[in-house]
Amino acid sequence: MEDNVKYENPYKERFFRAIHYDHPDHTPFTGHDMVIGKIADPSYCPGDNYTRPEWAMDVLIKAAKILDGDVLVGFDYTPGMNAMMPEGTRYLTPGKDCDKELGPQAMEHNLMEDPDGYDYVIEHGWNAYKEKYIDIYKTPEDFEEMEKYFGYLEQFAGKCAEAGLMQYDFNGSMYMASGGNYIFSMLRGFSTFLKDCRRMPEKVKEAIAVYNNEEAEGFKMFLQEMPYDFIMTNMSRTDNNTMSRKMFEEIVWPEVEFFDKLAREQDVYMVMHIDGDYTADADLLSTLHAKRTLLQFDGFADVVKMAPFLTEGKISVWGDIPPQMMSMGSSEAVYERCMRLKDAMGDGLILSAGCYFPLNSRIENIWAMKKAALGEPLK
Amino acid sequence: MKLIIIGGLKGSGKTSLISKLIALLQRDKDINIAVIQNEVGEVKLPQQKDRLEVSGLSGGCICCTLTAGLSDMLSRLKREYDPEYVLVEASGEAMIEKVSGTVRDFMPEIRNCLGITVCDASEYRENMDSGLDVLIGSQLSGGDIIVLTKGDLVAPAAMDDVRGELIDSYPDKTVISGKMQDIAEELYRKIISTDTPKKIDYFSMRRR
Repeated sequence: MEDNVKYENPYKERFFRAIHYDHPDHTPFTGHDMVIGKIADPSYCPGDNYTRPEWAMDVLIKAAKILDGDVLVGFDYTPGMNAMMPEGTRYLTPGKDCDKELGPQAMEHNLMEDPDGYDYVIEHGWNAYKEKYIDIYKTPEDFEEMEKYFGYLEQFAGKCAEAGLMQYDFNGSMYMASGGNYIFSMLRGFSTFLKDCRRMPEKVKEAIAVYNNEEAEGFKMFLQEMPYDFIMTNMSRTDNNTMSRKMFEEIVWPEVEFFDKLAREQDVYMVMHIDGDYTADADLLSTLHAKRTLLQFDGFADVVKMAPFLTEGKISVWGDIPPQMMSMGSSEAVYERCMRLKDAMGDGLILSAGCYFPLNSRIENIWAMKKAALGEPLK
Repeated sequence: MKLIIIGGLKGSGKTSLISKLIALLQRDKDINIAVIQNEVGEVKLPQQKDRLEVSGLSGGCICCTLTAGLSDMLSRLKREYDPEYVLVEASGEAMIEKVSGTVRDFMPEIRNCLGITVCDASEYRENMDSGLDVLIGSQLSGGDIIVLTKGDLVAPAAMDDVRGELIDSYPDKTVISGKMQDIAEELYRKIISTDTPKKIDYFSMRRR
């Protein structure tokens, strides 16, 4: 293993120390996934993951090494995801279905046109609903691509192990769970979902509970086979700009508590991917499992404002440089924003872009973030 | 390059408005216009029209991608197409101020950025009473101009009520209503006369 020979803590230890608020040697930094490819080869673009995957993997590994291995790496083979998305979202693949320089393009399809779908889920379960109404949209090609997806994942995992690098999902130890709120808001379309929450809250809550219970059972089953460290779930769009606090507390927050309880029971960490501005909910978020919860923001919450609550509750933050700043801002602005976050969150911070690094991030901005993580001057 | 961001709920009339604006903007001048559609899963404008470039932009994760990918798309449009106007059709749940805030903070080369929120007058009351009040409020307060569409489906008195409520609630916004063609004509006049960069604080909105 070549892991982090320059630094006191190995990557994983540093990461966990941040979650525990336990003085990591420096702030963890996750310049991850496709964005780092250009560091190793300026010609690299996301389309390469589809058109020449093995070359792309090697470029990503090389880039991670240039960053001292002090980074999470990931390889994304988009076409394989179309058979896997539980809500039926489809992805356009750069270099195949869309421009090779763009990121994977998510195409939302609102497949549950009729609110009777909630009844079906309540009566027959989520998996039965999915099989009957969602899986029919998946093509044989989707499943062929899914096979390739897993093949490439395995290949990339081998390359990372050989290079002593940590993958984005912590070498397969992060279980990805979607929450029922996200699933039904995608299936119904967000506006329609909001109306459902007002018109038939009990039915919506019951369907969400059915979904989440099945998700939890699936997690427990996989946990018997795999020693997962994390369960990752999400909270999307139901934010301060779209939903009243009253409705949030009634519909969304019980789901967060459900996954928090599940993570406590199963003794795993919870990573919550959060899209939107949840600044006003810092008080609630601070009540989650102390030193075991990591919130992954997307640049639209005011983390500095939330920090007094989050640090008091020992809830750590993964983020939160706005993606547009990574692609369009100056390195000085990125560095300054990183330092402000460090000041606010102290030990409980993992520096990253929120919620992901845009593929047109400026290379100098990735370096600025790394320098801030190390506590080094920008120049 | 001037940027016009059009937001509003799905079905409110954004695409119809954009079609009419394109026709008006190209009526007197032979200019290039680009449209970026963020209505995920749907591309509805014809692409074969002369001097019109239609591009789709969604991204990796539905919600935060328009702002991140926008600069890339705008740079490419500028380089390859050099449009006079770029019309961004935001998805039904998008917040205009997220896009305009990005433009304000990171794209100084774009001098003009106008945010238009399209609101279906015939469904306004029902939507406000059925769980969309916070979302609609955020969308309305995020733009510069509020456009009330589908007034022909509402009794005149009811339309006056909605219009009056919006004028009272958003005194700093211009509220435009009428037939779609008349709305487009009025917007067109405002667009060609607008020359002031917009200052919108996209962190200013919080749950009510």
